[in-house]
Amino acid sequence: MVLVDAREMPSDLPPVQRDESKNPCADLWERTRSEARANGARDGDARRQADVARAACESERSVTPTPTSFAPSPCLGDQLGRQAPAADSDAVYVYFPCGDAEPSAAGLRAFERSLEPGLTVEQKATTLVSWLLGGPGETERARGYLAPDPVAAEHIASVEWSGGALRIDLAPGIEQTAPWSSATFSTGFLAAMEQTLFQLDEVTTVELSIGGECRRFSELVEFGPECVVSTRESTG
Amino acid sequence: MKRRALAQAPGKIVLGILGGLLLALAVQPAIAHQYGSSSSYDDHLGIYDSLYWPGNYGQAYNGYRIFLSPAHHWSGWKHGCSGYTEDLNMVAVAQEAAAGAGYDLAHRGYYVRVGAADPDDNVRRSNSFGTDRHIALHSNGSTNNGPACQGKAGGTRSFYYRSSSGWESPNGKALAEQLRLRVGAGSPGAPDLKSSSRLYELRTTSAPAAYLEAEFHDWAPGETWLIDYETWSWRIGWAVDMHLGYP
Repeated sequence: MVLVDAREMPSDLPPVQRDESKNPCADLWERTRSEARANGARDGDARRQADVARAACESERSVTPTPTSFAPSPCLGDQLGRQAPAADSDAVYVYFPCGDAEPSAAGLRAFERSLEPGLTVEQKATTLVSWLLGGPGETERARGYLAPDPVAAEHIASVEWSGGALRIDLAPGIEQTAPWSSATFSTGFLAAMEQTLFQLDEVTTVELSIGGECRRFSELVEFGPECVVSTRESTG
Repeated sequence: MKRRALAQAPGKIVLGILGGLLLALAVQPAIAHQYGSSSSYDDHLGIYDSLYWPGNYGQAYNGYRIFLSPAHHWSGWKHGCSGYTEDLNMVAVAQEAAAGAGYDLAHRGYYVRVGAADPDDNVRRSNSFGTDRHIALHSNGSTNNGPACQGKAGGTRSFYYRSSSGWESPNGKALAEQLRLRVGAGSPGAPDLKSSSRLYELRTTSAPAAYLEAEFHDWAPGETWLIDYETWSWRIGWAVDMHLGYP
């Protein structure tokens, strides 16, 4: 199998034509570099001068868009993740990332829910996953929480627990319920899932799959062809 | 002579057809997998990367090899506002950043390879290329329905590798920070630096890597800026030059 395929680009390509009126600063880069070199500057120093000149030009001529201050998500003011409830309590927390705030456990916000008493580990996990996939309510969504479409909760095919390992299989079609492939969403969701499911003391690892293929989920979220297995230790 | 030429014509036609087929394979665009694929299929034979040697642009090689890996999602193309397609746009961004109009990486003396495959194949190709710095090029999304253009976030997000135990790739982080500063300063939203232990192209490349989510494609100002890539792709070269000290 040939893995290294490459073709040399022809060196005699015609110069790329640019509409300089669209970006009057582009040509400045070349001019600044040439002038600096003609004055004896090292090419690296000439490039540095050219970059600074072009960036300043773009800023002055508004080629660079005026920064839009995206309104901070209201959820940023909500309470951060809390300590897990007492083991003998039916209360649990479901975590959701607020906007694209730092996708780590520390940046997640907690929503209190109550599990029915007497559930098995698998039943508890299934309930938690359905809450995770179903997302917060409409009011919370409006506050900026990131979550799949509520219909995602209908895509839980099976939840199995054995020897501490929790395996969650999702039904095909789950791919269309969220921007799973965006780094912002995937890292935020996985952090929320781990924080939520590792409240169950019996769970030490979590593996997600689609249609029985863990690789399919891992590739969906751009984590690679190996299976995504979350461990309690690595989640902290 | 004429009769001999005529006798050779069928052979030439066959050769011509074969040549045409080979050429068609050779120029397959780096935009496969509209409807998704699985990396279990070896379907990248015949899909070629693009190489940009600085000598072809009249520049001295500065000793650094850069691998640009535009978005090729295993699960198929991703879309944003106004018909935007991430997988197509980011290939264009990569080509522009590699050898666009004179202020790009090749013209800065870098030997550049633009990957044409899925992330796992791109990583293998990057590692075998002897890459010094690897940059994955993506656009971001915060909502499920990108085409509805109702994104909840904006701005450049630049990711670097940080292990679950807290180890950070120093050069990956420095590169990501320069991408945040240089590309982010040109984008309409507020930029941010992020880390991940999971993203494939951050954790499996031999070279220090950065994962650039240039802007949000489900937010109208972000999408408008993304498709106007000729005005900002030069900033990737600027970031690399700043990170490596203008070699």
